[in-house]
Amino acid sequence: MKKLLIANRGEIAIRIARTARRMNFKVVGLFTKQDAKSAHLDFCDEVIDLGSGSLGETYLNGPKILSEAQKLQVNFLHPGYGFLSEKAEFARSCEQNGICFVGPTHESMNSMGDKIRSKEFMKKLGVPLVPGSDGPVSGLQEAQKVAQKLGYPLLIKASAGGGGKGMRVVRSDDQLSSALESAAREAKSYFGDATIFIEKYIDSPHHVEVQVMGDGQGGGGHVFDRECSLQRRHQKILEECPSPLLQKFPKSRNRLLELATHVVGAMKYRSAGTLEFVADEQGEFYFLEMNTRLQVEHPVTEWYTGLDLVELQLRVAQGELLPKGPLVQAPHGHALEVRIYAETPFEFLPTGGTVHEMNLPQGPGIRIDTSVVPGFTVPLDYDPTLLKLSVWGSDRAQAISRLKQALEEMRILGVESNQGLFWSIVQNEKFNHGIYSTWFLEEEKQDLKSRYDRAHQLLMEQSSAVLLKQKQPQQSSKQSNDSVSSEIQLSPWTYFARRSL
Amino acid sequence: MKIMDLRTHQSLEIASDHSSSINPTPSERQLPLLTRWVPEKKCFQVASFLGSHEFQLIRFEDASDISGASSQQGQILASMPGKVLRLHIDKGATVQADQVLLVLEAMKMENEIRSTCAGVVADIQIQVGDTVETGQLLIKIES
Repeated sequence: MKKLLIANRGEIAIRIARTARRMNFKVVGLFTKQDAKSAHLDFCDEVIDLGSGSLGETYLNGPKILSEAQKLQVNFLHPGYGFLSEKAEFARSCEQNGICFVGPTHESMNSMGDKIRSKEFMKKLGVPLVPGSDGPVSGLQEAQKVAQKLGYPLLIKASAGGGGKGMRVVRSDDQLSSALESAAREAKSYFGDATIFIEKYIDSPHHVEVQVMGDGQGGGGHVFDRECSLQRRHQKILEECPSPLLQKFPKSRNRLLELATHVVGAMKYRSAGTLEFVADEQGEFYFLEMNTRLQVEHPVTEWYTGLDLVELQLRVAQGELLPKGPLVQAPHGHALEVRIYAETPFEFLPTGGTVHEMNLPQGPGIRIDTSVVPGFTVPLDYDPTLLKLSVWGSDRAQAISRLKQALEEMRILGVESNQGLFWSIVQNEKFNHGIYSTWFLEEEKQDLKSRYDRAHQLLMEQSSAVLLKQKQPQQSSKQSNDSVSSEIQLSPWTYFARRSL
Repeated sequence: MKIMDLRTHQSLEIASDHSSSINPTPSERQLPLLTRWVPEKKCFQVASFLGSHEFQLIRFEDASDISGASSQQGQILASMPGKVLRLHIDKGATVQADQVLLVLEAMKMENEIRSTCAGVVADIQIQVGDTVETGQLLIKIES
């Protein structure tokens, strides 16, 4: 009997359970006191109560989860993302206890878990890293040689540095000597070490990544590219598949995808993973890190390729082999995903509260991944995701217009969210053009905010018309004169407001 | 008549015929809203394509009567749910406007809650370690 423990919660637990049930796995779920009524439990045949306590005592408590799993004779474990998904030690103890970990081997997780080691590994396989001086640079002459080789702009960095201290961006030859001096001086005073090195500076960085899937025996390969340049606080909030940047540089893109397939074969990588890169405006890409798990944004890849990535993970976990090379030959169209968080749209501050009612968008090419149902209270200790909305279109423009319409249909009552930010983004000129860097939200804030503010003002006007007609316990019928007055001149705004009664 | 957003405190005068100063573009055309009356906060929750907002209707002649707790001077409310990490003042302390009163932890982030006015701390309704809800009264300050 196949019995799968999903060591996660929320939307991803439901996402995994759906596929597992379809594939005739018995599904075991976890919950804590806070999550006792969570919707993901409805998808489980059996559940494990982790009680109350800190994350370390509950969802991150590997030994406890394992011992409970053994009592229920679980033979597969899917970690989802976050929590235990990238803990090599946990993956190892699963295997040691006869439970198949639905993910890569603990060796792969270990070698990719360390940023420096993973970069060395990738370099040996011919994956480009951000070009630099390969060690400390002393003196102007040496720096000039490096500058000649790399070209401007350059970034001078303190070896012992961090947090932007001892960093200088240099854009031309005549700035080099003074920047060297001041960076070394700053490095000396902050870190007690004046050693500096030089790297190529990427002016408008894009975050591109490649989904991979392997069978652990050298089979498998890339599952195409994504772009996640739209970030706040260095975290992705909107993802696209394929990358609009790489669409403009097909040669770069092919090179990237071939490299990813090569990495899967060379590592004998098992299950789903993602190679993350920073790319410049010309489509040149440099390796950052590898995530050894299913990603939050995997639905856009599923839209684009038609694959069910969790199904592939479960098939590979059962020993199925994959053909060498890309898994899909002819992907189609374009997909976008937005993460609707319980946070304010422009300051990104947590909001919280209880969802009282929802109207979720429907229609061609629309997918919702969520565990939120009416009555759901945003938990304080877990991540603030309300739902993931993803859309597919036959091209990027259609995907964007579908996303916009879906956002306009969606109603989540009771918890303020970043929905309005996305509604603003999908109308932004630069976003529609497709070339936007990780600076997008900062650079376009004014445009986004003014569109939001205008709609907010209209919303307040419309709301007042609607609300005045509703029963307000502390207000008498006094103001009914206001609202009965004008059925004559109906603006579309008030027309739709009336309709909602 | 005025309508006010309880979080941002933006407010708008409502024309008696509900005529709008803005002519909506096709993309600003709303589908029906979801609304809910919240008696504890004397406000409406309204869900639109901009997300969920809390609005209060204020009649000019009795503004003080309908305006909810959050608009009252000297009442420091929780702007987000969270846990009280630190208290920076004691009862009876003199505080300046914008002075940090306490720190709330929410979603692993520390958020400073500042005084909205100058005055004397008349009441502290929370302790370090308490979990608070959005809109909950934390501290009263008398000018």
